[in-house]
Amino acid sequence: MLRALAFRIAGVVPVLFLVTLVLFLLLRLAPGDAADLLVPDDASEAEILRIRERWGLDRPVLEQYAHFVQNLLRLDLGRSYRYGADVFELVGSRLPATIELATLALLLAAAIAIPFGIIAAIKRGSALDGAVSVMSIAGVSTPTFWLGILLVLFFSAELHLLPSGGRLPYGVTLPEVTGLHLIDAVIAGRFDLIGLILSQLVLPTATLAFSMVGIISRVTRGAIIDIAQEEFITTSVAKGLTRGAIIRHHLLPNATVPITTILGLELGVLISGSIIVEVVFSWPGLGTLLYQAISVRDIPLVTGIVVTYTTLFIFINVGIDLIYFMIDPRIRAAEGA
Amino acid sequence: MQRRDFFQVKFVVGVTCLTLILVLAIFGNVISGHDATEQDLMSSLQPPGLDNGGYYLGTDHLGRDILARMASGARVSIVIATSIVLISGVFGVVYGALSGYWGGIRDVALQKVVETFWAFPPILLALAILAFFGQSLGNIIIALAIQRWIPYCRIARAQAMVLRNREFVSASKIMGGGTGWVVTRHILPNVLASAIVIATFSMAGAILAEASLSFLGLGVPPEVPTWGGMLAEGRSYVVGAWWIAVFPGLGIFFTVLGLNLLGDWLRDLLDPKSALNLR
Repeated sequence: MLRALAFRIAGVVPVLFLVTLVLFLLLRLAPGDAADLLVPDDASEAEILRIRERWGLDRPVLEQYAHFVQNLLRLDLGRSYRYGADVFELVGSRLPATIELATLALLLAAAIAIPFGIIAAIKRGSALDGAVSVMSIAGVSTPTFWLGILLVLFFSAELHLLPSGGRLPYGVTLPEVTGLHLIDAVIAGRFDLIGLILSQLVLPTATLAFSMVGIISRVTRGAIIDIAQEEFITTSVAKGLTRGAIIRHHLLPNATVPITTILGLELGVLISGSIIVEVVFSWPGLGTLLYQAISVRDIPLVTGIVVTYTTLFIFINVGIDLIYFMIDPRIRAAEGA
Repeated sequence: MQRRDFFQVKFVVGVTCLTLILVLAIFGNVISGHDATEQDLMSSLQPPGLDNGGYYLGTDHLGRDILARMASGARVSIVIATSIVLISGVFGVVYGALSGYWGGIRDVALQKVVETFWAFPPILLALAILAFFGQSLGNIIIALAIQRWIPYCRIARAQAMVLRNREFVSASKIMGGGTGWVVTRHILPNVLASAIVIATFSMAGAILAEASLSFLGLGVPPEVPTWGGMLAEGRSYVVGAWWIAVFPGLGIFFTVLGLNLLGDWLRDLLDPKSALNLR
């Protein structure tokens, strides 16, 4: 088993190399001299020289690529020229906000969608089943930024129930340890802040979760229906198991693989989906940082963020494979573990 | 019997949504009588109504007619999404068909490229391209097509690998058919149905993606009215002027909904097995 796992993880390395190659080629193919792209418009001659040196732009293309990869491995893309701070330090400081938002959105979506999917499968053709179908199509057809604006219009502007954006109200501070506010509040013993933090999280989390609820419930439903047609279910009915026992011991365990798959896929989609939700709710995560970096063409920062998101994305996919190993003995067996 | 009805509902609702949007795109300006970019500050933030100087869907903060801007937005969305779907579809199908038909080392190399593009989270590569290359209509189409060809490539490759060893393909080769002949005559026609299903869903995705980019200000130039751009510009005025946010959003929603429903219907129609699974 360990060998198969090691194999899967090792497989990430070439993909990461190819990803950096694509980014490097894009940077090279971009119009204008690469050095001009990497410095602010008002940069001095000396600054441009320094950048040429840092990115190895005065050397042959292959060496430039080696240099680029080397800089990435050392987590050194220089300074963002909008913020003046080190690119990967900036990324690190914004990442927890994004992770907090995305994780909660996924949990929320799963907590709603999986029970609905199961019930819809068991009660096929019922009103609830129809509602799941409608929700799934409506969910993927609604632009998240529009939903976000409408929610703010209703819950913040109209009802004054929830804040319209940001992570903490103005003037409230929280000592950062993990960067995940809910956990930090517990560590600092500021249980009074948890309500505030949650109220800031409600709208962005709900917006982000909305599109996923439909897809996840639909996949759950499909998985359960597929399994229900298998012969071992007929057998368990024949040997007299109760409906509840069949669902608990046979249907659900077998549905975990497709459900995990869709949750993992959605976590990947969340990465990019969160960019726009963060912008709508002024959520100070990686997405807003990317948006700001693009609008001023802060190329080192854009590159750093793209590399970070993509690496996360690739590792999420590996993580899903590892989870298969843990939950499904058949996959372990097939991989010759 | 129930299943049949459900198919019909999807088809009817889907086609209705898309027809409405097409009518808006084609006749929107005729109905409104205003120009999409014409400013009339005296009548800014007019609510929708029938007796307010012809601004049936109201006006935005600069007094521009929402209906006329919606019509323009519909045209931009349709043109961009259609170009993206055509480019990515043709490229993906040909790439996948060749990869599967050739097999061997060429297939491995071509699939490595697919794997690389697929390793980027959706939209992110598009954002990087727009950041590096700047914004223009061409760049937006390239940026949004750069990952969309992969689903076509997958099915075309799978189909080509199956067909490669079938008798009628061997016969065609024995009779002197070259790669181009076999691929266009025998493989592509067999991929067409699946490709059309993918294209319908992909078009829905492309419209959402284009709207998202325009909303972020990374889409077509800001002076061109788009649904995403209307939402972005009107955002600060929506409190007290709901129509600024509601109508462009509805435009996106109904277009994407119509395409998704039509895609579902087509998939059920062309592949009864998947319909059975989903029911």
